[in-house]
Amino acid sequence: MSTILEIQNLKTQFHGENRVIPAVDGISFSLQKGETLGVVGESGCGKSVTSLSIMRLLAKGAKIAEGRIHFNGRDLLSLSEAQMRSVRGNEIAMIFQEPMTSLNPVYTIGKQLSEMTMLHRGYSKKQALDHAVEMLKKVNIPRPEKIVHEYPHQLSGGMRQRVMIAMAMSCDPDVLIADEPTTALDVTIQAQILDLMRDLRDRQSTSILLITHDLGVVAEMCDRVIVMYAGQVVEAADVNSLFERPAHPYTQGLMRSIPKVDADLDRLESIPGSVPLPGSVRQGCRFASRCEQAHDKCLSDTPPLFELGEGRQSRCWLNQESAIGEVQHA
Amino acid sequence: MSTLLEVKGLKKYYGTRKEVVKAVDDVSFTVEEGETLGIVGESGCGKSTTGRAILRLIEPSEGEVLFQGKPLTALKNAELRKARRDLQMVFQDPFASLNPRMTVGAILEEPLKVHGIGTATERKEKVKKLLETVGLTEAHYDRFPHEFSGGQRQRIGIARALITQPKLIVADEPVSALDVSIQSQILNLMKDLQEEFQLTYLFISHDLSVVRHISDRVGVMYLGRMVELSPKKSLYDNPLHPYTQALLSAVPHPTPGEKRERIVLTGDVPSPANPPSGCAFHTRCHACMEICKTERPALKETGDGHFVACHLY
Repeated sequence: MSTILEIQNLKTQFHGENRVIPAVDGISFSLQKGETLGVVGESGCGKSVTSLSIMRLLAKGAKIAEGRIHFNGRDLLSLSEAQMRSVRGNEIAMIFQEPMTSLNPVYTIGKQLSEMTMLHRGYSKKQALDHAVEMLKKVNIPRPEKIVHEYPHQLSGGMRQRVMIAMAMSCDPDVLIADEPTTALDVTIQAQILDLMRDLRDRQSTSILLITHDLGVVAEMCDRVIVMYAGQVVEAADVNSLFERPAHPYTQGLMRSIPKVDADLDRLESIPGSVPLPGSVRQGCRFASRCEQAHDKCLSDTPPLFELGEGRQSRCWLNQESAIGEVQHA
Repeated sequence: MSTLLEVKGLKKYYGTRKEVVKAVDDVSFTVEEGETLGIVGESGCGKSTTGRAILRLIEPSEGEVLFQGKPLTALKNAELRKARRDLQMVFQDPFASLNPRMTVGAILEEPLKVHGIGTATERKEKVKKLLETVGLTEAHYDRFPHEFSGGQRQRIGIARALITQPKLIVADEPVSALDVSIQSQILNLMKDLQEEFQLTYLFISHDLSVVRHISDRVGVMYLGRMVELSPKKSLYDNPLHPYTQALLSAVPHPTPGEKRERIVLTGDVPSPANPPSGCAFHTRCHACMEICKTERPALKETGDGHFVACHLY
């Protein structure tokens, strides 16, 4: 397998009035061709900022301070804005969480779907609209010839997310970034959308970066997973190892916190406390204050990301002995 | 156990000039003292409207709600306010449901003032004690909501519901806005409080795993109707209604590589303004028969307290 996207030591910061908030604090990972990589973590862990950094769609006040983003042999961070525009939507596409706010309410579905192919492929209006109908068919939208003339508010949430996927896939991108694509949807609709994404991935061998907080979705969709906590990668593993024997205490805690739909538990385990504010932990492990297994070293020394073999990584002193090395730049 | 709450033929219709939206369409159930009844369903199924109509935060269009045998639906405003001492609510969004300009102390004391409970000092004592009970500290008394995280705010929301020592708490998606690690803290807290204060919960959620964890019995709603109602074990192990079966099979399991039969429902939920004739689910049902298109199935018991509204049974 070949690497299509590689992030090296990415640091993205928000500049506040009198302080700098390190939202993403030195993360590295790579995405292989045809692979689905899950990025898991709770609110504020930096998972969405990571995806926006890759697309260079960060809001004002946020800045990529350091790092490299290699995509097909280029460093995205060194591209001009015009060059970046030809990558966005064309080679790397993105689906957002909220399908209502990410579609423009005053344009028809057809117009919004045509924009991409007219811009990136030089299609005429007619060609673009035909292509839009074709794409809507692929995402199983009924009556696509009529839907292209409708507006977003006329569609249900599930339909809108299908339109978003059709839009993202319309230039046949190499990489699809899906940021919580099913979080706003009901479970039965979520099942339809996940099926659709799997199907498109298998047909067009698109690589997917799937950002989610839902471990059920991860188990169903992903080949490999990275777990983020407070702006850093704390664990990386293939999906089976991650669920069978999570290495980092945070991942272990997350796994034990989820109620099960197919078993009765008397009590859930929970992780005490809450996520520290970015930049507030200056010394030691960022998870130490909530970790049951924390010891003195965790409070004083910042753990590196240990290499555990077979592509597994964990940022915990407990894994030091079984480690075969440390990940550089992380 | 005795019946604490009885809901009979509850309806809530919203009329516009053109059409009538049947948000809740003839729902009946009971809640026993000390139990947790979970209500699950997808967006727009009427679960939240049901919860609010019970407390008369929304006036029901039709139907009766009996609390300890007395009809809540017949009470006048002043009597209703008095009765609400025993019926409290926890809301989904802990950011929107706390007044940002009031301190936590003032927020928690307000219900006591409304009901004329205790002197100022007694009230303050009571609030401080309750803060500890829900996992906060006395020091939080003078703080404002924005100083708290989502999980802590939900603890405040729960404390506010508890302060009048109610018998029934309607919790509408109380953990949906929280991260999983915080969600489990709140669920554990709710279970502990139930034991400590003998509370009865009506727990409304779209999350089938959460509902399984917290509930004794579970009701499934679809398009304003109760389609299945059963003790949780038999509902999750042996779902009878085709909608419940589809809903359960759609939940992604956190077990990689697991092969399961999935019933994927086609299409979207029909509009409650124009629900299908007969059984509301017949347009998406894999077992649809002729009778389903014309006749609305009644909620019938199939044994051991397992009720289902489906012509198959």
